Amino acid sequence: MQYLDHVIAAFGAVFELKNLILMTVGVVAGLIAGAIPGFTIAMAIVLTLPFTFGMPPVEGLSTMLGVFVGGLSGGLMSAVLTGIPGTPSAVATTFDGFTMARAGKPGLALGIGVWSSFFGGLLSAVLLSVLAPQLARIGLEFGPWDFFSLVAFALTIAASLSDEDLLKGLIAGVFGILVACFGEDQVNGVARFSFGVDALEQGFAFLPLLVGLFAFSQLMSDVRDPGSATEALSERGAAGVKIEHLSAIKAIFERWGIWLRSSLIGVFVGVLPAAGSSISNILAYDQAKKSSRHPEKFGTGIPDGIVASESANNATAGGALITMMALGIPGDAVTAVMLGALLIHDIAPSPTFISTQPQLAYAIIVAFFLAHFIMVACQSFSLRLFVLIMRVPLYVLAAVILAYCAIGVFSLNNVDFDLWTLLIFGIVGYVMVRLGFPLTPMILGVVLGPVAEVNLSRSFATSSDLTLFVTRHWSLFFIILAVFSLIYPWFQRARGRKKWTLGYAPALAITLALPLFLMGGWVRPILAFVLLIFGIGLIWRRGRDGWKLEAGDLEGARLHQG
Amino acid sequence: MRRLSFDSIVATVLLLFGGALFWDTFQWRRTPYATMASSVWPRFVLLVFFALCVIYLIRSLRRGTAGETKRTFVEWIAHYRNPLWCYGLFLLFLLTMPYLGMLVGGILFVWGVQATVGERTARAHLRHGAIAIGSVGFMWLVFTYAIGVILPAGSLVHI
Repeated sequence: MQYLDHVIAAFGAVFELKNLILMTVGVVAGLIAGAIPGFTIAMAIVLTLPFTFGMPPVEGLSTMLGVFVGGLSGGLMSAVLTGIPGTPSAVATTFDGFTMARAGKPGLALGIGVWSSFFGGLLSAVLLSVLAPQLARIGLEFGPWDFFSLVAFALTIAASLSDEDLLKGLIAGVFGILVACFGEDQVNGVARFSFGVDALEQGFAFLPLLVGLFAFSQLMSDVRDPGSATEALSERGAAGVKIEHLSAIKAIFERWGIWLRSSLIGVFVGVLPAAGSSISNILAYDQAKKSSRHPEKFGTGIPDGIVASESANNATAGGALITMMALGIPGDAVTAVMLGALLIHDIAPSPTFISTQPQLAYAIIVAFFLAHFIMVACQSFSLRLFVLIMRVPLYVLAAVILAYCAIGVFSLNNVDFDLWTLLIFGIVGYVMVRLGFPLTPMILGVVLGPVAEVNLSRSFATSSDLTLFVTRHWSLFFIILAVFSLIYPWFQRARGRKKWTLGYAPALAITLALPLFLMGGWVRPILAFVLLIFGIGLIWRRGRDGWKLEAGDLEGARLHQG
Repeated sequence: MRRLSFDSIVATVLLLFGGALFWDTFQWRRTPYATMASSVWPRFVLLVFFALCVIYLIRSLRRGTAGETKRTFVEWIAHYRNPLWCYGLFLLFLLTMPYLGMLVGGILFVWGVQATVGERTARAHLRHGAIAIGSVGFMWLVFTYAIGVILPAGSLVHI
């Protein structure tokens, strides 16, 4: 009954007229920002923050969720109509979406994309509402040692999945942790790295830093080339395109298997700390192609590819929210920004978040559901707006957005130093990107560094025994995952070429079974047993085949690297 | 003499930066509480940072400059002309804010960015001016009257 009360209260808060209007504006803004190549979802969310600062938490978060869902779905507009993915989460959509549009069916391609996003998002919202409270219950078992190891895992996986080289990803992550050390430390209140500068004694404010890294530096990358900066984003018209809803829904229902598998892949990737929709859409496309009876048709404009990519990228959002709400660990860069926004409202997501703030927690879930309906309703209108905005030269948009960044950042704390933070991290972010350092591990370092420090301090206050980091079951579980995620880039590069890669998955399954066995109860040992059987089964199968490399592995590796 | 690669220079700069931070950890106030000292975590992170940067330096020295585009200083400036203009104008905007305020400074900044990065005809300058006044003016009104933020006023213009 209590659960129902919370859900009803959450519905009441989310369905208030003001909130609905704010969400609609957020969704449209997200659709447009997601559709503009060069603008990212994280950038759209950080630009929304100044407006949400003065709002109650439910309104602020609903607006940002609107931008998040809109941004994920907006990327498909430019992917289908111009062949340029609006966001990295729509890269795989271009493979078949643009080809289908060029073949004279842009309305159908858009329709399949929109409705796949919708259904994928809805499935992830259902899983969010079911899994987040369960994961939070598991999170209550975590001690400071386990949280510390979880943060270590989040940072290593962020570095290894960041598409750049692992070393640079790790340096970026550690650099982020160092940046978070500037200012007063949370435990003793000592000013650190201030170098005698008064303004530095408070450290760098989180949001100006984010806006600098994600918005300022991104805009500079967009206008770097004088030619493309002065051109309109696209002259390729789409004014007459009408989204074909009914035939799109029919096409998706005929491919429900692809939709279901891709959505589940999306949720799984989202749950992994730091892995986002830029990975899930490619992974889902790859899996759809591998399991298809006609893989040669992928890339020629078939609906299967669009369904796979678009259902996966929206489902990732739900997965990322699961980890954020249940454990306080951001699922990707966008949820890292949302975590920062929650902290501004004095709400710190942790395993107790759902039980202590149930109305807000369920409001997030309800708003995430609702945002998908608003997204479908606003798609046609946004398409027209998108066509108009695509006629504006990039340098005009960049100039106006930079001014908006300055005003927005100042309005957060009314402190001049925040504007300097914006400039400093605008330069740092741009230089890092130019030198091949990924930004996602850095931002996770900034968010998770203080979490790691506080938990390390707590663990030392409880016991000086360092072996607890490997003898506690959950800590060992995350350390194993961290080690395997560190090896992952080498695995990815050597997959399909070197024989040792055939042992990666079995080794992971078997070693993960150990801490699960030790956890006691009956569910986890059963899971451990399944993992063990799976690992041994893989070894047996590969041994039977003479440890031969599979052709599919090489193809998959190529797609991931491409 | 063999030219240093970009990565080697970056690794060296990062090591120097880490060194400066490490030196600073010895200047901090020591607290008498029974908690982990404030310098423990940053020093641990810095040690990891050092180790990674040393690996990065060794790797970059081994790889050399292969694959890097060699540019003269003038070519480099020309290549990054637009971002340099934007950063420079933003710096100017921050330095002049106490005198021009957010509204006037913001308008001049938006116009300046468009004028340097975009078209440079008289007609374009007029259009850029209109866009700057319209966009910054609108944002200033929204933040001042709708959101209730007191944006900095300039001592010269008083708005």
